[in-house]
Amino acid sequence: MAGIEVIAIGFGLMLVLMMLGLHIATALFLTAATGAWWYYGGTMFRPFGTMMWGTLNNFLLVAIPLYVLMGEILMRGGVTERMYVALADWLRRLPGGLLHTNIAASTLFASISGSSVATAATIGTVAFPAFRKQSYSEPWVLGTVASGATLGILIPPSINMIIYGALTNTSIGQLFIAGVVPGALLALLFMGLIVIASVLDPTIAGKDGTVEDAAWRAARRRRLKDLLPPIGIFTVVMGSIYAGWATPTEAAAVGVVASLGLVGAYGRLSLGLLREAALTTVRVTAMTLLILIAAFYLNFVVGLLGIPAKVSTAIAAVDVAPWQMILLLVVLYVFLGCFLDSLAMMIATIPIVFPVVTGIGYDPLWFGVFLVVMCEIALITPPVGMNLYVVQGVRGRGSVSTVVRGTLPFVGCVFLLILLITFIPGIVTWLPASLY
Amino acid sequence: MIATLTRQVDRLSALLALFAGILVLLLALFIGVDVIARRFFAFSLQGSDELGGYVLALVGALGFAYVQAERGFTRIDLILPYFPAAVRRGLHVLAYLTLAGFAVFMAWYALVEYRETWAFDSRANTPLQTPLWIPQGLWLAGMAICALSAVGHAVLALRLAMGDPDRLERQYGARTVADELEEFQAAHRADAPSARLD
Repeated sequence: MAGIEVIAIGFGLMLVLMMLGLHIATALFLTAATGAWWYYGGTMFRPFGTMMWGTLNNFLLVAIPLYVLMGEILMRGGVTERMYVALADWLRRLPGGLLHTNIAASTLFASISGSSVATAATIGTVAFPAFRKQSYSEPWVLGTVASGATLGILIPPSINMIIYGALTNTSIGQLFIAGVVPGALLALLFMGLIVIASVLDPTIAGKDGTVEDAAWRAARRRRLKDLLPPIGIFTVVMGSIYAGWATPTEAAAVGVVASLGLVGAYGRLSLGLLREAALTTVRVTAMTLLILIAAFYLNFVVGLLGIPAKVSTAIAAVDVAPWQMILLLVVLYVFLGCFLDSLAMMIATIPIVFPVVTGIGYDPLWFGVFLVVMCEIALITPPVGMNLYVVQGVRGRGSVSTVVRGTLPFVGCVFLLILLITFIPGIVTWLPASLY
Repeated sequence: MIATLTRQVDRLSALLALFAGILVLLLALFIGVDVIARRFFAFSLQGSDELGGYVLALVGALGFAYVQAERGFTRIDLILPYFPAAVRRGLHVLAYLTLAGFAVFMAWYALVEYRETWAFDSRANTPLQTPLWIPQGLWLAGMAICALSAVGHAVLALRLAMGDPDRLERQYGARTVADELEEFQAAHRADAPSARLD
């Protein structure tokens, strides 16, 4: 049987393969297959077909294409633009003005989309032209879009949570509900930071005192009709999960139907829209599924080799306090996030880390949220933070270092959230516990 | 010859991907109606979870070749740009050769699974009792197309590495965020009215 050194060798092999530019799925699979071959020969390839069918024929994972489809329909149907403009009208009087719009629009968009990169691209595309005419500080504009978009994977629905739930047998519905409070809290931390920063240094926000009070009130009322439908869809989706009427997969289907109705009411439903939305759905789902097939096989091989038990024993021997363990994990994930795509980072570490963390008494829901928050940090820290590059790409001028500089203060907020949920785990577990 | 064949496979897989996408849309309507009917009219269309699983298997199998044709599977290009050009080209080819190996491996074990289903005439453990050879047959076909396309592209990449390194870089290099974003914006420009703040 495998000793503890196997983990280092296997993990090292996987990182090297990924750095050499192999596809992530291939790198995961080759690592798993090498381990299986080394210890068991070809016999452990036998279950691969059954396992592959089991992964693909999994009703939990059906949620992935359905949520992607829902987000695509809403985004292509122009719901995002309407929402953004409406929020701008509602929030412009706060200190920091339109910067809050970026956070709030990301928060709202995150609640109808499961992906951070899609959120960054969408909000950025709408926001940057709108800011061109204004006198806002550019790093802050960029930073709010890049970091606000990370909420996409924390606030339900979340593709990362569906994958975590499927890999660890954790209830996806409960995970979604566990993400609500930390997600809202992080959005508030972001907005609090903007308020403090713009009070200390009013030049970061543009002047916006020209609108008459009466006109402003009228505008807010008029825009409400653009704001309520997306909130309504979120309420229907999460409400039916919370009330136990529907599983997360079924709720996603209801969300798709509601989105079709809304976009139809806006007069934007067309065959072209459906075709593009369907193709994107297939593309995103297939990309994710290939990685998942490899991940489930890796999970199987790691379990077969008895690695989780060995790591747990080794950890128990060192005798670290649970919070020290979490601190170590934060360091580990920040480090890994420098190399790996956030999804790859999550999938590659779950088979080893999950049994250890739940072994020392942390709730699987808590760890799921923790892991997603670590993915958020990976998305906005250089050198491979996807959101930074997406935002830079949408901006289309200057250097990515301006984006990095603007995002840095918000990275601090995410770390603060990690501290808060580590020392007050109830932030995560309270809402799902009230459920059953 | 191989180039033409691979192009044909790519074209076929784009059609099949659209078919899979339509299935997802239909599935959403089916489940949506089911949930509403169950809640408010106390009846249920049976079997939405089972059908959902089959749709997902098809989206995977039919989607793989499509993503493969668009070189959409995720690679990490953190240090690739810093290798000497010759090494980098070698690594591009290696990536596509190993992907082809993985695809053939998957197709082979899909066949193994399918033959077992056929031999035992397995049925789904559900009220519908679907004979599993039907969904698994479609799944196997998708995996076979994916393997075919992966091998075709690996051979093409290998040939370009020897004959036309610049095209190799263009066609089989790691996609950058800029590439993906361009695609995203091209897809969304057509139907996105720009927001006006006034």
